[in-house]
Amino acid sequence: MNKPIHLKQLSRRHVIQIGTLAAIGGGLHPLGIGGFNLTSDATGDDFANTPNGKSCILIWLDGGPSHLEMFDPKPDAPVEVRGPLGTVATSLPAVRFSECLEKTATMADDIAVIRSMTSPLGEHNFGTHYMMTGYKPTPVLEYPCFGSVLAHQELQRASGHILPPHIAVPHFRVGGSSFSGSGFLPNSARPFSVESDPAKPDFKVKHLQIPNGLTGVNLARRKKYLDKLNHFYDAVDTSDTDGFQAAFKLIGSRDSQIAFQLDQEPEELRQRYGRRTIGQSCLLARRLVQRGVPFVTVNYKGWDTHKDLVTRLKDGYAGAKTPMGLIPSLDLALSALIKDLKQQGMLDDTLVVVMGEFGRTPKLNTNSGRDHWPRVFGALLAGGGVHGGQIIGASDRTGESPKDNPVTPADLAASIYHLLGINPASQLSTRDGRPVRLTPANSRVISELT
Amino acid sequence: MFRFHLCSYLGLSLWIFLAPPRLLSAEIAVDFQSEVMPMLTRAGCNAGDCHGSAAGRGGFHLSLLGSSPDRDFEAITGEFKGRRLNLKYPAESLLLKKPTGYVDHGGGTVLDVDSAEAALLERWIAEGASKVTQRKLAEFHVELSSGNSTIVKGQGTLVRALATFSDETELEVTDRVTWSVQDKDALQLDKTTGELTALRSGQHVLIARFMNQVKPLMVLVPFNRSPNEIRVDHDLTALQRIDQEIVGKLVQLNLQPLQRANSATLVRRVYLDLTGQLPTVAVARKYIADSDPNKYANLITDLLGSREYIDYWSFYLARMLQIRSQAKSDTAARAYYQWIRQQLQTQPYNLMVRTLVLSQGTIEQQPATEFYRTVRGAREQAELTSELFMGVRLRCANCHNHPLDRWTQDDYHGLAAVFAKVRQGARVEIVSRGEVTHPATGVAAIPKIPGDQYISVPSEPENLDLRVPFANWLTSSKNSYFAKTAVNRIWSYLMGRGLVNPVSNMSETNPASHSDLLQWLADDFVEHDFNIQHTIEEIMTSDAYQRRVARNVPLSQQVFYRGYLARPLPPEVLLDAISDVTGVATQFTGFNVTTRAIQIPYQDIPSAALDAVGRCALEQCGNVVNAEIAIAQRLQWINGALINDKLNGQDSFLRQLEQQLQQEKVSSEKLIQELYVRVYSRVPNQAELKFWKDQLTQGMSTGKPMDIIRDLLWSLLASREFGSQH
Repeated sequence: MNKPIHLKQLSRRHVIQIGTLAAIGGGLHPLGIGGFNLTSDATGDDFANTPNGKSCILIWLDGGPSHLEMFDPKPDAPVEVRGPLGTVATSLPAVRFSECLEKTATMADDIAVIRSMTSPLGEHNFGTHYMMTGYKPTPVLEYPCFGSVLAHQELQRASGHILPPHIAVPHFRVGGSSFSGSGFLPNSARPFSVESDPAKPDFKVKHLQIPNGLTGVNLARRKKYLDKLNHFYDAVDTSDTDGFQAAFKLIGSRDSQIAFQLDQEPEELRQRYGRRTIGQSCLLARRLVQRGVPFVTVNYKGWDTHKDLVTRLKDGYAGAKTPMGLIPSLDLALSALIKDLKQQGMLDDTLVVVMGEFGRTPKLNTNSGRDHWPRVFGALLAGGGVHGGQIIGASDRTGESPKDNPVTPADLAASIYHLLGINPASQLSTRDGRPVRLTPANSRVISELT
Repeated sequence: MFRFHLCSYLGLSLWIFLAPPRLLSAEIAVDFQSEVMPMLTRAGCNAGDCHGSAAGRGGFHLSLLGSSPDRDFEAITGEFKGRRLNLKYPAESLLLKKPTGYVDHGGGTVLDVDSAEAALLERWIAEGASKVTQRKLAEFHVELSSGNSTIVKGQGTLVRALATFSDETELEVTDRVTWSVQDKDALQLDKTTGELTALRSGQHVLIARFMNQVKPLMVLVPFNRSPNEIRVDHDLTALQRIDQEIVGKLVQLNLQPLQRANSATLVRRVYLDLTGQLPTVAVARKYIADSDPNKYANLITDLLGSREYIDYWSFYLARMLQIRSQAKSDTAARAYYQWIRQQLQTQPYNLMVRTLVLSQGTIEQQPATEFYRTVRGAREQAELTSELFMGVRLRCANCHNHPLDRWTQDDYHGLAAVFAKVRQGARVEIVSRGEVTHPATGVAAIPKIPGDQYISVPSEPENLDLRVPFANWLTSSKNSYFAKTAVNRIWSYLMGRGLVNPVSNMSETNPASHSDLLQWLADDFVEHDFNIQHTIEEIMTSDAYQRRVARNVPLSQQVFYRGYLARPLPPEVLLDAISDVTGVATQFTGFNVTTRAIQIPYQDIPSAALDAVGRCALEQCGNVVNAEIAIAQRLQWINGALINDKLNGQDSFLRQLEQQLQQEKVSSEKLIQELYVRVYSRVPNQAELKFWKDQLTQGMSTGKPMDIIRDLLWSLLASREFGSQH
């Protein structure tokens, strides 16, 4: 799936800069730890990936998206349940989505929607932890999210890749609080947050370029000295606790520079994704996955819609002529992403997951919003071998409880690992040597998905 | 905001005894409150994802984990004209036919039709489905049958629960209790026999719930000692109180405390904890060389009297109180900060908190009124106040009685009612109107001291400030929450982990790792007039504080303070340390260039430098001051201005060093020692000295020694040793 990056794609500036680094690259391995290793990413064909070559893009709808305004509308329910938005037909018979998902609705053959997600955790932190790790939070242990599990496996395989194996766009601040993502895994499995908005015209990852006054020689020496000092301090734990090893790798690699250059994408394609943050984030995710990053979290914030659903979800701002709220922006980005992945021949190897921490209350509240509701909600999967064109499970008449085939976050986690070619029953080890299953023992793979 | 809020860690595994409930003699009728209700809880009927959820389930609503027996009695016997029960043919009751699976039940079959539980329900209905007694649970006690709290790994022991009721009956209720194990990889409870088996070494919590009480049981499982470790007998009586508790527990767990750290480590540790600064080169050298046996105690006394101590602990209190700047002006934040600073110098902690809680007026009249501008709304004020000063998260009790703790909805809304008449504007004042609606009753909540009495609302208008009785109660020397929360925060700051961890979650289900120690520290704090300095000194002079870092000791052992817990420096302290070492200050907009990061009154000042050292915005991290520095920030460390500009700055340490080196010859050995003391507050060991001498010699041959020195200084600042408190 990965296309080699050809030199002609590099700008002159890069060639020069990398040339400087490469010139001193040979002398950079006295300690045998990392270094400005250009050999692996120059060939382009040993890009890292999950064991079976699959990647995952998680579009995280932070705050808890309303299932009733998206993939599980209730057009026949009373108005206080139905809500203010209409519905559209999809390419599947008798299946309707929210009116704001008109583009995605035409691609229903490529996606699987779960309408019977269920969880007891209706608080942002706890719900996020459960959905992103497959485990309910406990005070005893913080579990790692899928992306960090993949990242950890990738780092252990020491495949020589340069880009961090779990990248968060624009950042990984999810669940309303500090969730490291890596849980009990080493810090090196934490996601790399891009920390800048891909929709901005001057988007770039800050401080990736070596500034004036410094040379590759300086950086190489600093890295070598730093490794030595940390070794003097703690000879046992040489893992990348503080992120410097990964940061030096990024700076020393031309692949990293190119990977984040969104302006290399055709203008028409950028438009198709939508010029808002979610659109350009999804495009960046595709670029990263294409370059072998096994897991990208696209963090789309703002879904905690306790009031004014129409403005927040549909219009974007009061009096908008073209709807540009949360859902239409997602619709644009998601449909473009699936189409793009398909056209690039990447869809079969790229799992796309769209979800948030819970759904919203079946009845509108007095502020025309909906509050937290974990008892039933939805999730969407596409690509990565997912059997598209199906609705899995169902909620009841008012979207209050699961009616058929309830799916827990643990089941979803097991299914995601399974789709990515990882056995959900395999074990990780905590720093104390405690074995932990990837997903809880009572989780099951959703058989309909594959 | 949290309409639906299922609190706390319901991820605990609930074990249900399937052993037949103790059969009472046949002539005694089944009791609703002490038999039927606990059985429903054990079977999970009133759990948060079942009928106990805020809206109930399938039209049947029970109070979460049985917290309101009267309401549940009404729901079971009265709703739908008693349709759930069939007094004539008890076995035909829906209450029985649903859980046993005879009638379609959303929750599936939860009771075996032949089970003792089903028999109990049937008997209760047959006997008329009455309440029988109104007896309350007076005392509830859980223990291991062995009588002590230790289990050997791999072995088992029986658990036992004893209840004393208000009518003075005493009963063993082991089989009526809902037991939950926090860490099911560590403890395993046999569902039929009640035998508890230890799977992992450490200290583990078993939680027992019966009627309206929750009791934790701490179980110690000693570690296996490696055969070559020398066994040392500890004379606990010779130790000060803190160490009696810490070493006592280590001995019980078969763990060996680490040795005392060396002078260089201690002088750095103490300076950073008391002043937020590194010791200067001169101070560090003098302390290391000093042979006075009292030098450690003297150092602490001296620093506690310094201006830097007031600066740093004001910073700590300011962050705790979540001071924020206003968009247009930071005048209020500055005034509030100055007030906190002045309080720390002149007032005991209880009086400071009392003034905060009772504050009124404008910011000019009373800077402490900022406490009422930190959050908006009476409920939010109640949550902030209880979290800061009682260490409890009352929020769960908004929608329902706290499932895992003593807090009720009456407590939550009662405390909110205390703040309901406080106007939180430019002028904080008591107004005549203001109430919060109790969601269960739909009418105004009655003001209440949490976990204590209702406040009678006086008729005279001048007495309308309900905060007075609350403040009296809160800051009283008899309030166990107040002092415990304060000393636990201090302990957590100095020791790297709270005795109750996290510090804002003091609850029955999150017991202290060393509960006697926490109690003693709290009592000692009260006895010493709520003096923060006293408690700091008490902790810092303990052996526990002075130990070597527990490096590569598994976390499961670190929590017992076997050694000192190394941790990242707070972002502001790290930034100040970088400025000090490089000799180039960090400029903050609106502040004098000499202002240190820890002297900024509020956390949300725009600063790329603070972002790069891991500071995160309040809304992202809550009141967590420490954040981790990840790859994105490290790019800035490597390529950005944070360090590079400071290395190359006009009057930087390196420039001065360069000039010095041009004028006089300094041996590379001396140079390396100077750098090490400047950055690490210690001299390098032989291996380090040799390595860096070789590097410098190589550099000399290329003719650019300053290049080498600059790169070395960058690396020292980026190193783990510099970035941690250890």
